[in-house]
Amino acid sequence: MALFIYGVAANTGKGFFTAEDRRNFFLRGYRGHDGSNYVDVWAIGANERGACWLADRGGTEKTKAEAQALLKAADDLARTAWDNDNVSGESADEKVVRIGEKPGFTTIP
Amino acid sequence: MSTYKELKGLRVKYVPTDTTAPSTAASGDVWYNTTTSQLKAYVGISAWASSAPYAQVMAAGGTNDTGMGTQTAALVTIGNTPPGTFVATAEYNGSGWAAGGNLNTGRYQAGGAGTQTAGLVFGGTTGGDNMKDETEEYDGSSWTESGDLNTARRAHGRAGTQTAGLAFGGSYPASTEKNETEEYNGTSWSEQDNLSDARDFMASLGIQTAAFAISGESPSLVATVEEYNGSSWTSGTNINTARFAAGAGGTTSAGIIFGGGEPGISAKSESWDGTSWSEGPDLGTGRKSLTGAVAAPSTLALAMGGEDPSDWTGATEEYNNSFQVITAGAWASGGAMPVAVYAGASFGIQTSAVHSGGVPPANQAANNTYEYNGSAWSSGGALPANRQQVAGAGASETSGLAFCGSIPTNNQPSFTFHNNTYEYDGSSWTNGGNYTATLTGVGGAGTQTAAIGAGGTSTAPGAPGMTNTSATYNGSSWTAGPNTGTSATRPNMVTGTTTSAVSIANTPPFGCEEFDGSSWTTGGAPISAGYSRIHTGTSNSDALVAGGDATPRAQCESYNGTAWATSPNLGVARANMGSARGVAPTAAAIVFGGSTPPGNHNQTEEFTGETTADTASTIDFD
Repeated sequence: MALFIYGVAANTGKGFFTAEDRRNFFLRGYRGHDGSNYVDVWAIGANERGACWLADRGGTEKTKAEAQALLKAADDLARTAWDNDNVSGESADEKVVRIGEKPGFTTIP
Repeated sequence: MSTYKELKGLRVKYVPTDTTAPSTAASGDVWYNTTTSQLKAYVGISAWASSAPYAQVMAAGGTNDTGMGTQTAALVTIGNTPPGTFVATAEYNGSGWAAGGNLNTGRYQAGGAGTQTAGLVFGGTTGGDNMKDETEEYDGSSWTESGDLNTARRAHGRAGTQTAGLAFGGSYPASTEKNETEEYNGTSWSEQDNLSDARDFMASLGIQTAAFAISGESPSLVATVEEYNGSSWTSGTNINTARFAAGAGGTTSAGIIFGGGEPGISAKSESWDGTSWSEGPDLGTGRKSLTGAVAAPSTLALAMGGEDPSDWTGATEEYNNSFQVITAGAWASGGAMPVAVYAGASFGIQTSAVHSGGVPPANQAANNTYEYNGSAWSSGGALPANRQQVAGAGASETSGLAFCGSIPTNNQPSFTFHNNTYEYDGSSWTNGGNYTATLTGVGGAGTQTAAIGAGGTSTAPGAPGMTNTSATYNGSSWTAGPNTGTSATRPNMVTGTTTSAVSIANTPPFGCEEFDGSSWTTGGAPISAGYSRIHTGTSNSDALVAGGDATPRAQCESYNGTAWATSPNLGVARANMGSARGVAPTAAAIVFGGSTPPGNHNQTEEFTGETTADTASTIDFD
């Protein structure tokens, strides 16, 4: 049996996930991008409560590969933005000090 | 039929609520709830839980290691490190092990009594018939020789303290069981009444005037128990499962025995309540030749070392009996911010927080202020000027500070820096005293009239030019304080007060420093390092760090003034969040906004810390 369910659901704020939800099943949110907009991608523990949580919030279930692709699209945008953020005469080390290390790729569990 | 008072010496209390019931809140308490008309009790649930193993493992047969002390301060003589010397010892503090002082006379299968700082070891062997009669006392760091046993022996029973010890049974030569008993008075041993049955590899517990010899080999396996009252041995109540080389702890009125050989390796435990032995929860790792902490009560026993089915082990397990229910801490989503933003001034508490300025989606500096009431954000008074990487401090929506910070000139990375301080009253900002330096990326914490700032940079956010200065605010002016140990930007990375603060640098090597009101000193090393994390808490012993890094993460760590430990993760991985710092306890922390480059977040998350609650059971007569 799969350990996680994957889905997209807009985080609506207060009550979207509760402390009780967090105790009842694994839940982790990530920024994804669907080609047009940023979207909230969720990895959800694959138990009854986790499955109901995504359905109750009007989420769209995704396969792991689909969820990972959404994250990669957002990561690609972040990495491109990092590549394009340059200052004349700045060394690579100085750039890291100024804006931090180049974003990596997020792997969904 | 006996009454409760006849059995326990007390009447059942009549109380209106469960929470007002027992003054001691102990397992076994019984009361009558007059509101619900129910007889209630605290019913303990027992379990063994694994803890850190010790590294050195005895590699010879028999009841090898000798345990003393309690579940949070134990001492064990281990023996075979380096091989063949049998002199090593180790100390346990309730979570981990450290090396103790070496014995003068190496041995295993010894007897032991007392505590981690007042221990006693007597007898033992180095193998074969090389029985020992030496006695040594431990003071918490080193062993000193004392009076010898009258009869050298190994695998014997042990009880008592450093100044009132008891040795009984054992064998000499090997496999020849003995029944001799000796008492120790802190100086010398004297012979006493013999055990009825000669035995070795028994479990034992108690003190010099009230001890048990439990099960063991006599020479075949026996389930019998003998009880010593300070002058003579009498027969006690048999345990349910005969075993040898088991561990034990507690007293003759509340004891526990665990593990051993049946002869196959056993995980069973049995508890003694003064009347009978009853089966308890099994050890997580069944084993024989283990030892217990002799001074630990039966409800807080400690199992150490031994031989599991595969090999010798340094495994440690803690036994607890509790009627309390522990609810784990967790982050939950809060109201979404009107704008996705990061790097503003933030302060307050979970139900009354502020974020002002910062970097909105256009990637410039803003002056917008947003207030949170515990469920939703609303707009507040605008800062007098745009600011990003601006420090914040304050207790609530109606009392806060924003100070220092920067404004991009045209486009990043060209910035102008500021030393302005602005005070917020819940609706508008007014000028306060200027900070002691013109900086951005300063860490701020505390209240509007007692704030602290530290670190920052006078060049560009995160660029060389970082400072190690700090300052405190008294409601009208800033006063330079002592320097931090390292120069670094610390945006949102100082928490606490002007007399008890903690900070993590936002730049390598990301070290933790504590402030006590007069100086900064190195604190415990965080488990992980990373840029752009958020720091929250109230003092240098109540802090939490969350998220951060180039590839944003959700991990959190909490600090107790000594060490960092993992804490429940955020729901949404991100960096550069705002938080209520300095007045919001970590058990009620709040984080909001943040960034996952190149975009921002508007999510809020609220933390509810771990709680422990007494749980009463209803006694049902149906």
